[in-house]
Amino acid sequence: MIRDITLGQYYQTESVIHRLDPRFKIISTLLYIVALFFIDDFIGFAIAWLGLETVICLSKVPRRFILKGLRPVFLIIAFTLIINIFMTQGQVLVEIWRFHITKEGLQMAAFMGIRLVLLIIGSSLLTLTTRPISLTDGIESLLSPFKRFGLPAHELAMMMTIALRFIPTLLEETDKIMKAQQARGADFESGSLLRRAKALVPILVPLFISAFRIAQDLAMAMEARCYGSGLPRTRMHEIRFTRTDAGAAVVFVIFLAVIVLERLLW
Amino acid sequence: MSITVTELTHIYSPGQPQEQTALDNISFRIADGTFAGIIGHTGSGKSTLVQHLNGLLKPTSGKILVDDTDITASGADSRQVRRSIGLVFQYPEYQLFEETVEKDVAFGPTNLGLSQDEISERVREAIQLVGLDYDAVRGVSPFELSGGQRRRVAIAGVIAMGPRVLILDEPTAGLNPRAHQEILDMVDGIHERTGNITIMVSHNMNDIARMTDQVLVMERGRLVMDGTPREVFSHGDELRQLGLALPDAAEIAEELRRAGLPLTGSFMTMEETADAVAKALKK
Repeated sequence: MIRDITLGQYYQTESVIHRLDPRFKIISTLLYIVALFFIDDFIGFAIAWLGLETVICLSKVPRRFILKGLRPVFLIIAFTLIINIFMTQGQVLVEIWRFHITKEGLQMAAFMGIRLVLLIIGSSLLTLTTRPISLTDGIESLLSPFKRFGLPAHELAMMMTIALRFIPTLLEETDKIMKAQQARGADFESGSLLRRAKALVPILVPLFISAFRIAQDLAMAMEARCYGSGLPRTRMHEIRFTRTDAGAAVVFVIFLAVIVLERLLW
Repeated sequence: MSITVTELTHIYSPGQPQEQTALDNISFRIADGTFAGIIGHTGSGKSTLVQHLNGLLKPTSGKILVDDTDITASGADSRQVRRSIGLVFQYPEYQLFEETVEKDVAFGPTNLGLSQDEISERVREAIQLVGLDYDAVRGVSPFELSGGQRRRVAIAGVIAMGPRVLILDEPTAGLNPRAHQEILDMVDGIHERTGNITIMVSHNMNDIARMTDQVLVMERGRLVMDGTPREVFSHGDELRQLGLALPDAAEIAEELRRAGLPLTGSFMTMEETADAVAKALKK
C-alpha cells in the first residue's frame, strides 16, 4: 500500500550519467527542452531522439522505469494530439461532419506528440539519475549568483531538502493514522464522493497536527545546533565540475550545434 | 472467546528487492479470559502480529481463528472483526481529531452504525471505564487535556466499540511514571471487569511479569517462547541473548543467589522476592 510508494523516482545504480555534476544536468536538461521547441522537422527530431537514446543507454536505467514516467501524462498528450489534428487550418484530407483533418494538422500533431514524449523522457531522466538531495544542491549552486539581488538561495534549497526529507516520514505517519482509524471502523473505500471526502477528515486532522509537531521538533533541533547564525556554510559533499563533466559538456554543445545547423540548413 | 493462530506468515513487498519476512510461521493459542503479553526487541514483528489479529493486515499464509471464525478468509467481514477485536495503537492520542472528547469517542460506535441512544450510552460507559469524569470532559477539546488523559480518551474510543478482545500496543510508551501506573491499573481494571481476552505489547518486563497469564516472546518474526511468565522468565540467559531482560524482582533474586543467599523458586514481583529474602535471612 502506501509503504510501497518510493520517493521521487531516483533509480539507484552506478553510471556515468549518475555521476555527472547536477548543475550540468539541470542546465543541459533545460537547454534540451528549449531545443525541442526549436526543431521543426522530422530529421531534427531524429537527432534529438538519438541524443536521448545515447543518454538512456549510458544511464543504465531500465526502459520500463523511463516509460512509467509517461503514464501520468498520457491523457495530456492524447488531448494535445486531438486538438492539433482537428483545429489546424490547411489542406483538408478527410472531412467528417463538421470536423476536418488537415495535412498540416497531422504534421503539427505528430510534432507536438514527439516533442512532449521527448520532453518528458528527457526531464524524467534528470530525476531518475540524480538524487533529490544533489538536485537541490545543484539548484542552490545555480541560484547563488542571484544572492546579490537578495534571493535567499540557500534557504530555498534548504526548504526543498527538508520537504523531500520528510515525505517518507509523513507517508509513514499517514499509514499509521489510517490504520488506527480503520481499527475504529473508519471506511475510506466505499460510499459516494462526498462521503469519501468526509472520511478523510479523521486522517487529515491528526496528520496536520503531526506535521506541525515534527516541524517544531526539527526547528528546535536545528536551533540547538546554531543553524542560521548567518555565517557562510560549508558542506560535506562539495559539488565538483570534473573532467568527465567537461567532456560531457563538449559533447552536449556539439549536439546542440548539430540541431541548430540542421534547422538552418534544411 | 479464544484466539488460535496457525502457521501465520507475513512478507512485506513480496517479489521486490526490499522483500522482508515480518512474521515467520507463527502458531499459538490464547484461551478465553487470558491476559496475554507480547515481548520482543524493536522490529521483532510484534506490531505486525497485532495488526493481523484485527484484520488490518492480511497474512501471506496461515490462519487466525477467533472462536470458530476464520478472520483471514477472503469472505471475512472486516467490520465484524474490527468490532469484536479492539486494537489500541502506539501513541493512540495522535489519532484524536474531533472537537470534543465525546464526539471523538463516538467515532468508532458511529462507524458501527449503532443507534444514537446506544452510542451515547457506550460513550459514557467507555469514558467512565478509562477513569475520566464524563461530565467534566465530554465537552472539552481532546487537545486541551494532558498527555495521559488524552491517551485515556483514545483508549476509550476503542473500548466504546464494545470489543470482546482488547489489544494494546505499548499503551504506556512515553508516559511519566505516574501516568504509566495509572494506565496499567486502568487496563487491569478493564480486564477484570470484562473478563475478556486482553493482549498487551510491552517493553517493560515488570509490567508483563505482574499482569499477564501468558507471555509470547518474538524474535525476528518468529515466536521463540510461549508460556506463563514464570516459565518464560526462568530462561534468563536466553532472554538476555535476545536483547530482553528479566523483571527486576527476578534480576535481584538472581544477583543475591550469586552472592550466596539461598533463594529457591522464581520471582515475578518485588513482594515475592522480599518475602523470600526475609525467609532466607531468618534461617
